[in-house]
Amino acid sequence: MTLTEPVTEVVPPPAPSLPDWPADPPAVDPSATSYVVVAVGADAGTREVAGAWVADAEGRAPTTLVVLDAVADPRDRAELTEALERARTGVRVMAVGGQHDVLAVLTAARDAGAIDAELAAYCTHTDDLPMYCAHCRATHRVEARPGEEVTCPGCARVLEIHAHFTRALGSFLASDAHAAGLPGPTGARP
Amino acid sequence: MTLSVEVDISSHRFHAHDAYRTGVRTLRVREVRPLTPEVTHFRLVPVDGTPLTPYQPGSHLIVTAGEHRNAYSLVDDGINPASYGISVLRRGQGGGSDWLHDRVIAGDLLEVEGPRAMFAPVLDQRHALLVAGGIGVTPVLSHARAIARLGGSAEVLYSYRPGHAAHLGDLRALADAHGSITLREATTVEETVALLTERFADQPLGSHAYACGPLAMLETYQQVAAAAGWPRARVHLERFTAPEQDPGSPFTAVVASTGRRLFVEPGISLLTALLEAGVPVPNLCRQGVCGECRIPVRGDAIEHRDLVLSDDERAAGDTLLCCVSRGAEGTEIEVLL
Repeated sequence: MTLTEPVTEVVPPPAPSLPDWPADPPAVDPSATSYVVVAVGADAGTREVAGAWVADAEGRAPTTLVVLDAVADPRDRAELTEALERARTGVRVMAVGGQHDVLAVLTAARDAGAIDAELAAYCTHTDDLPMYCAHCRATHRVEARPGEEVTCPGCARVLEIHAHFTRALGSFLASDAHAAGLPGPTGARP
Repeated sequence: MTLSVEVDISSHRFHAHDAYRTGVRTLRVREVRPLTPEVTHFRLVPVDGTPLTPYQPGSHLIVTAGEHRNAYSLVDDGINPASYGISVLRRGQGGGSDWLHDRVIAGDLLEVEGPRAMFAPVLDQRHALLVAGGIGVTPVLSHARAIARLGGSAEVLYSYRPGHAAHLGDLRALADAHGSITLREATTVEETVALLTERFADQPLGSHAYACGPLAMLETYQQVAAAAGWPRARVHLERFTAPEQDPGSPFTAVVASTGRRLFVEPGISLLTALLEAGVPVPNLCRQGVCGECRIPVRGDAIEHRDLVLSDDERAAGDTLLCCVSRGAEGTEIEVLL
């Protein structure tokens, strides 16, 4: 057998698992039988989107508006958990706020059993994100973007935030930015 | 010198332990017990005491019943089974179900294949709404038993004609023994619709619904689920009868391995055309229900007419059930066999 044509390997485009946010607030899903609208933060954009959603949703089905100052606050967190526990299948959960808060709300909704078809979200900004530190194994809020370096609020290591978002943890993965230059177990440097 | 070695792998057991056997084999009928005037329960055990293959709730067993090979739902939880139980409705049309009713007694040997899972639970479900109509109770009972055994919660809705309700006692006993399993019963169409409407509106977030029963009930089930705002990914069903199909349009199938072109006329299925051309395709129900004849294909204009593939699988356009699905009029489908 002779090869008459050069064999070219097809390399698929990189498919990072980054959240794909809509440019505009998504419309209210008319097929639902109840709605939970979660607004986090006090900025005008959040209030405006939440208000428009509630105005539309209320005309269709029973709607609960949950307004939170911060998802990390225990009392705010309890209010969100209670709203999700009260929800029946048929609900649509809609979250608006900054990226960190929206991702935290979506993760809480998924933990409560929601699937993608039941979730909608709009980010008013993407200046912050939930970051999972591979070393101290906790999720922290940081004001940075994937690819940037930050100091871990938990363990003070300098971390690189990777372009990898995991739904299971609701966080971006981050790991030691300078690990390659650290001494190995024998003290030898690579 | 020519050296040729032929290896027959058709009988090779890739998983050597008996608890993995799903191929054609013989089981002994341990018990034949009438449940209702038309439904009889058959309990099958291994002939030689070897373990039986465990199965996912909602699985079925293929039983050779005289001239026919029929699929019957297994009724137990499927976990480490000591026997296989099937409950068979006498159809009265001279088919395999009648043969089992008329000919089989305890001690007989039956040829079976499987179990196979076509109606498995979603593994991360938080709660299940299980809906049974008539003999459709068999896979629903399997789901309910597995959930009870694994410590989950479920609500069972059973629609039946009084005096003709197979396994009603089993479901009541299950609900009595497990606080997390509730049973609601309906005996008329109106009651069934009312019960479905009431219960679909009040299930916790994260629930999945499963139904098996007559076509009309399954139609209602889907409508009520949609009206209650349930996404389709949460609504599962198994049919045991299929609607009548129209003859379809003529199209051409190209067999990829040989390049042979088959013209498939209206009224002739792609399955029939392939079998007549000598292309072996495993098949069973021939009405788009069982999924046995799913084959890989390539084509832009596939008319999916089965009741097995999900919307995503249809949209992918790379498989079809060749017993009912076809190419659109005048188009060409490449069959990757």
